[in-house]
Order: sequence, then C-alpha cells, then structure tokens
Amino acid sequence: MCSRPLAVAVVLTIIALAGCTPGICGRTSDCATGLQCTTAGACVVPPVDAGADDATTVADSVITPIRDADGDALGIEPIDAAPAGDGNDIDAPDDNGLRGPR
Amino acid sequence: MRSPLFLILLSSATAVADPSALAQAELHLGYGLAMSGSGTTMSKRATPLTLTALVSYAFEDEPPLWGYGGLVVETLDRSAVGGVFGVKYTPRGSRLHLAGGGSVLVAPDSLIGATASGGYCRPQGKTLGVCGDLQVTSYFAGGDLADGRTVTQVQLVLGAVLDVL
Repeated sequence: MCSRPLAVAVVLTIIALAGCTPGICGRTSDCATGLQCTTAGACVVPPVDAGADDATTVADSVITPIRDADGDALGIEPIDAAPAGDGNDIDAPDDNGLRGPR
Repeated sequence: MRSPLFLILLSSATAVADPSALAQAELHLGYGLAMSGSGTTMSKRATPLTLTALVSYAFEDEPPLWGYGGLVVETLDRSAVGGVFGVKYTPRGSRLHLAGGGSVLVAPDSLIGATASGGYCRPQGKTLGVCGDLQVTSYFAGGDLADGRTVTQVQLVLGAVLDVL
C-alpha cells in the first residue's frame, strides 16, 4: 500500500539531487579537510590567527639588562636635559662681527 | 498522564506498531537534499547519510503524544555525531504521525537545528513496524555553519520501530 508513495519520494529525491551545486558549500564539513566554508559559500583556507602559540607574551618582552663583568646589572641612566650654559652651547666668539679687509 | 520521568527518555518520529505500546526503540536511515544560501551563492547538495537510533515513550494518552530522544550519526562524506529529541503525535486509529523537535551535532563541530517530520508506519507482525517519513531539518547555529548561513535539509527517512514495553 505504501510502496507507491515511497517510490515517488525516491524518484523525487533522485531528481532533486541531480540539480546539485557541488562547488558551493553550506557547512564547513561540506569542504575538504582544512578548508572553511565562507558566507559566500566558497571553501577557502581559513585565515591564520595570531594565536596563542605565536603570541609574544609580556614575559618574552622583558629587556635583559646589560651586566658588567661581575654579573651586576648596569643601570640605565635617564637622559636629562642638560642645564643651560654647561658647555654644550655653541658659543659665538666674542668678536663675531664680520670684518672687512684690513 | 504517564510518569513524567520518562519524558527524559524521549522518542521517535515513527508510528506505533501496537497502539497499546508504552515504549519503542527505533532505527532511522535518512538521505536527501540540503540547501543553503540564496541566489548565486545557493548551495544544493546531497545530505550526509543520517543514521538515528531512538527511544520513545508514550507520555500522554489524550492527545496521544510520545516523547523521543536518541543519537544521530552523519556518515558517507563526513563523520559527525550528536543527539535528537522531540515530541511525536500519533492520531488514534491512524498509521500516520507527525513529529517535531531538535537536532544537535556536537562532534567534530557543533550544529544546532530544528526538525519536523511526518510519515506513515506499516505494521510487520505484532511488535515491529516499518516506516517512511519526510523530514525537514533546519540548522541555524553552530560552528559548522558559515557566518550568516543556515542549512535546510529535506530527507526521506526509512525506519524500523520495535515495541519494547
């Protein structure tokens, strides 16, 4: 009794499958291993994350101090603005006028 | 109304071989067409072969309602595993049934969907029935879906149902 509807359903399924669009994905599992399904329905290589394995941690970023021969860390002196008149100025000669030929 | 404890055991999308049965075990085999997207980016492809093992329990006499739940496995062109659950309605004196519920795949990637089905069961002896269903499942969330896409699959489901209580 139910064999006819079943056969009709099978035939309809086969016809529907004939119109498949295999190049377009709906799920990532439709794609080959390692590829990802995009919103546009394309299987692409997923973008590489700057993931946890590659991330530079704060600990990695610590500056190793320069040490002297005894192993003591050398301090890094701050660079202060030198006080005016400490000799860094370019002093003009006292007699800095332009002179004409004598 | 029967014990609500058994609601947890939920059950099937197929019909009752024996109207007086309280619990059933079912095995389903589904295959069909999956569609996703629209326009030029619409995909239409064969679904995976879906195997489902269910347990169902009659929890309501009037209307005659069954709860069902079980495991689902996708195979053929991929491997995935998850669970299904829902409620089935079987009109008295009829071999037809309607069911609705949820489908969740958990490995290797997640997928969450809603499912509805309707079908017919033909008794084969006292405790066995053979069923055919048309099942529609719409997956709308999960890591297996591309952003902004949903997948709707229409499957022809063949099932065997066994009265166990």
